[in-house]
Amino acid sequence: MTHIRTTIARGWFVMILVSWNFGLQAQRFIVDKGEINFSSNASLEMIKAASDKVTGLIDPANNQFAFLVNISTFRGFNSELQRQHFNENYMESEKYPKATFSGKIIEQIDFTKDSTYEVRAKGDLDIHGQKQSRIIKSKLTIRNGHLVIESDFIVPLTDHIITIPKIVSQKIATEIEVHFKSSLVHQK
Amino acid sequence: MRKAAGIFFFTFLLLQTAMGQVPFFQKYYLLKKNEPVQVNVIFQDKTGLIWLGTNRGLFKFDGITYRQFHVFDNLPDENVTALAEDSLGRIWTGHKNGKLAFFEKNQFHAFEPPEGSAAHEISDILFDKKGNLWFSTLNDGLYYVIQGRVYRLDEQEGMPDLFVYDIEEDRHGNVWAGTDGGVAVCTLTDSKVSLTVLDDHHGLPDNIVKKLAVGAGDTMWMGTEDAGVIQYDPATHKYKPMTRGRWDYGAVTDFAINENQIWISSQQNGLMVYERQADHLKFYDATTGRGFVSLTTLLRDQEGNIWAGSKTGVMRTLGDQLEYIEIADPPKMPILSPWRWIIKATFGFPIVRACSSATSMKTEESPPSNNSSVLLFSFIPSSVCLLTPPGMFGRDYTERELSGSIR
Repeated sequence: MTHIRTTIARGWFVMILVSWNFGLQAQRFIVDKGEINFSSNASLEMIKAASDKVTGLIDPANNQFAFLVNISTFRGFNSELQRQHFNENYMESEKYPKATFSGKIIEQIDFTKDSTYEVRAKGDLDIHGQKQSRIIKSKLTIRNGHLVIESDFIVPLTDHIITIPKIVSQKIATEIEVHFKSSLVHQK
Repeated sequence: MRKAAGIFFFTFLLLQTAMGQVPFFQKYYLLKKNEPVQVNVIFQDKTGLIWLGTNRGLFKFDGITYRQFHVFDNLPDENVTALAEDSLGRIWTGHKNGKLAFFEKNQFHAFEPPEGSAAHEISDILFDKKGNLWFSTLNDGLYYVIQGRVYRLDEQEGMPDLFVYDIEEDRHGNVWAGTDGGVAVCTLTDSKVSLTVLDDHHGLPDNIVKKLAVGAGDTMWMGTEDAGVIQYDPATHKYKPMTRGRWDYGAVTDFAINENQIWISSQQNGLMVYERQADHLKFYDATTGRGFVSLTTLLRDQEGNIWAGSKTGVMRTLGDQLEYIEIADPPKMPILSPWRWIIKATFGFPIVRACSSATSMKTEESPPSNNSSVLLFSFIPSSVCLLTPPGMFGRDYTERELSGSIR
């Protein structure tokens, strides 16, 4: 009898845990579409590239977020050789395949209310295997249960130990301008 | 003829040397071959020694020589992120890996309480008036130690956030902690802490408070992410921004109060000086010298000099008599757009203003008639010279007095 009671109790506990976990997950927003653009505006050359292979999520329960992009998915550049140099020489994308930004949104937001918020996303920006603590200002729009986040920021190459040979120093900027935009939907 | 050529050549050499320097700061090279070192924290102990916590260990500087300490010297981690001195004169180090150590009898000893150490980077260490040790962490809350026992304050205890940048003790013995969620004011009674939170619900202009400093009376200065430097008066519960209007000069990384000046470092605008009486903000922009835009920490030393640590090294102001005047001063100096720097100096005779471009130097204000042609240059980092018809005048800032005229 005691055994049966214990089993029933365990069953209830598992059910509660599953439904609680499901409830939490249902609150999360995951990336539906996302794009990261970057431009290097040096004195002798402008280089632009973009990737739409962005994954990530925002968890309103604790304001935490995480975004990821595979370095090798960036397309654009001024030539195929340039893309090759980007992956092999500068970003070393075989060794450091991903760039990530994870942390939490500083401002408290009502994710159930349609509105536009200016928020600060604070977290670790991990590029080229080098983490930097960053606070990135972003615009967050909530409309009909969908969420759009957009931000512009600068990535100094020295912060992530990306070294540029002197011979091409006038063709590659020391600070890269990044534009990020992503739409997120409720996780099903 | 040879003598004239020699003088010309010597002057030319001096000028060339001067072009590449910013004469207002002395840069220190901590490692051989001028390797960059990220300076996380600068601290001056009671004996006047300067300690530099860096990503390449700890440096002790006596004004002439450095001594570097590594993990081989028992430091728990090469990356030193916080420094403090206890009542026994021992230097304490906080590290990126969350560990602490103290320097005693010429060696480091790990601080290893039974409860374990913090899980994240130590951002600041403080010994309060009663001698209790406090340390803050980036993302692991605030800790305090009483009678060898470690206590942790987190969100359950009422901390507004676990990311604590700076801690400061006020005149009443309360410990203030600047966090990502506002300021926590901690009052310690026996071994228990009661917390009061100051945040945007209580009028705080920005919840991200990165630096705290005790002001006049009971006031507290706060350096914020987006609202600049503000002053809080606990008596009136009022916040007063340092500058009028909106702060558009970037996230404050640190600030140091030097009598009527507030030196501020920001990520976007580098180094700024706010003249409190004149209500004027002065900028040291990137063109005046490298290293200003990546400043991490500031310190006002016992002599009133300002030390600035950056991602690449450390610099120090050369002295009070040498004043940097920013380039952007159009009404007075319309000709100065191509100039790289301008300074105002007092050399025992009336003030001389001089400026430098990439190719020449020139006075902007007429000095005394017998000094109508003045060249100003710095041929070693710690000195500034004026070349005038009566002779050459120099000031050695390591000696902090006029070295005399050379004719």
